[in-house]
Amino acid sequence: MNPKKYKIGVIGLGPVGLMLGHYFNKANCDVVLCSRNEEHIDLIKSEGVHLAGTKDERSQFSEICSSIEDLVKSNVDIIVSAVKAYQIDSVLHEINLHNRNPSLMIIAAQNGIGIVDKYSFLFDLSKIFRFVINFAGNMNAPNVVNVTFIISPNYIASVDDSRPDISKWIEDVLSSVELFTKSVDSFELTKETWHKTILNASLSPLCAISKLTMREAMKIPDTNEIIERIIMEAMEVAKAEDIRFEKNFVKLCLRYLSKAGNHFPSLAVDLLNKKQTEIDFINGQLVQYGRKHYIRTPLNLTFTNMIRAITKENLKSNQPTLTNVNE
Amino acid sequence: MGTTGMILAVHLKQAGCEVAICDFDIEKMNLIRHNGIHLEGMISKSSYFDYVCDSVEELLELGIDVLVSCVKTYHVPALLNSLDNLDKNIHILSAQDGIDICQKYIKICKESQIMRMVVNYAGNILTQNTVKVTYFNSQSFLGSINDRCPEKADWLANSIKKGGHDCQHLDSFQLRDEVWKKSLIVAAIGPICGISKLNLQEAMNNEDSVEIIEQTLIEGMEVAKAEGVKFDDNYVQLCLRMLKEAGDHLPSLGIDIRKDEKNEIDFFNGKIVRYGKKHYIQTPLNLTFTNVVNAMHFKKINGHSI
Repeated sequence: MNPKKYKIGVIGLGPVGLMLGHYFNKANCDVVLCSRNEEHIDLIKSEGVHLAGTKDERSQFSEICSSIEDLVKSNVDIIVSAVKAYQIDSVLHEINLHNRNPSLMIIAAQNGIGIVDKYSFLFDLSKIFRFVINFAGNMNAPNVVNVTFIISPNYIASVDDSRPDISKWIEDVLSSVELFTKSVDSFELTKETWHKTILNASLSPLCAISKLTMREAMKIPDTNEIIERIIMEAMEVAKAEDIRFEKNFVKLCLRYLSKAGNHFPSLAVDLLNKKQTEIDFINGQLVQYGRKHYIRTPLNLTFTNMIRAITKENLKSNQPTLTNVNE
Repeated sequence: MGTTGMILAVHLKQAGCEVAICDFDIEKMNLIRHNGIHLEGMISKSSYFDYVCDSVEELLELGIDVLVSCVKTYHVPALLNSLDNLDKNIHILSAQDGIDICQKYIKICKESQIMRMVVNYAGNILTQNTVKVTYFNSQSFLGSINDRCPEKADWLANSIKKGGHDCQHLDSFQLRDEVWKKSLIVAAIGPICGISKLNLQEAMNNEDSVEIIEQTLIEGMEVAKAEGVKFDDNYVQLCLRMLKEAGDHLPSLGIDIRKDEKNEIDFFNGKIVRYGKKHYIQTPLNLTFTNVVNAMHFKKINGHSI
């Protein structure tokens, strides 16, 4: 495995982007980070990236771009898109505007359902890869990720199965530095995507609305009941989409979630910070697929609509007024 | 002497009834003793009271005929402790919203002594003796819970009406229907507005929250129908229309949830869930709201020990 075979660009320097950038870098790949925030760039240039929490690792980056145009011009072969799901459209539009490389490949590093559809609107399927992320963290500082968990493996696939060589290269590169990643076919990846989304759907909006941490939500019997029902409801929808589940899936999910940390999932952090959330790609997709198959999803609908309604009011109140614009 | 109690006391007083009022809050009762109770907002009325008590014992010593209970539902057990050996000639009027509230009173008196009122007015406390009335134009309902004291119920309903608030005397079955209908509305908007911190107007202007409000209503209706409750045609659409026109009003359930205080959700959404189980009807939205609200309150009480 030659780590220099492909040059990697990373857009979106949140926990996922910084961690992937760090591990590609650690594996001796050529990595270019991309952020629009000059202060963040200066901080990463001077102090590097630090993974704290369950990890304590650091890395330095020599190439950091301040625009997608610069990133595309830096001759990267693969772009890791680690922006929030609701930012994908604008990022892809910009990549498409500046890209002159017909071989440019892109990795969708977002969790949720319906993500690939967004990429396939502007990219040929053979150029798109999908990552199912089984690690998480919070930002302690723009260059410091508090890693809360890494559960092996992560999954990667070519979304039309035309480039298994690339997904295998990514598996080798990341696994060589102990971010164990498994290259699978697109169908297996779809299954893992649904499994991961169901886990997210069961806890994220509940924690966001109740202001309970994941551990608290799992420990209180009232919320535990809701979590189990969301999983069961989502499973019915997934089964209609021909997603297969291992035996005892619900109980295994609950067992997995019972080990969750005493912190908020990213969707809850976004809502509590009055930011846009990824609810439409998590519970919202379960509702949509439920409607497609005429399966009722009342719990997922409740949480989706509650989060959307709260977000709408939050964003309204965040809009600049004439007074603070003038300030 | 919260919103319900103060509005009711003023209307009974203005109807010419002899009214004694009672609250444990000595400071509040001293203020009312000297300055009376004032209602403002949608209506403007004031009344002074000759009998102002700081304890239930003191109130009972006055030889009252009807005890109107307007305490929060979760305070009823404490009230009942003070009503041990209640004179069998005294009637209780439960002026609380929620399903099965009257079951609590059966522990200390006979069913024939109990009346129930479905309160269709609301307000906010502005000062200890001033209520801003925010919702007033609908009709309230009142009746004996087993139809054994229709005269007294009729007298009370007429007195309230004479005092200026439209109140109709119903038989126990009609009254049960109204209890459920009011509870379904509170269950549909209270937790949503409480959790999301949207006011009713914002919630009713947002298609996402309106969808949940409608589904919560429909779910509750199914359960109520299984209990024999009868609904008018277009009930859900009429409710939504009424809620859209209700302005900034928010039921106290929503206010309590919003303030993260002890709340009455177990008597609204919680009861719909329980009756749903009785009739094998799934109530996922009501279950979600009941459990989320209870979990939030559990966290408030137990804090770091979770």
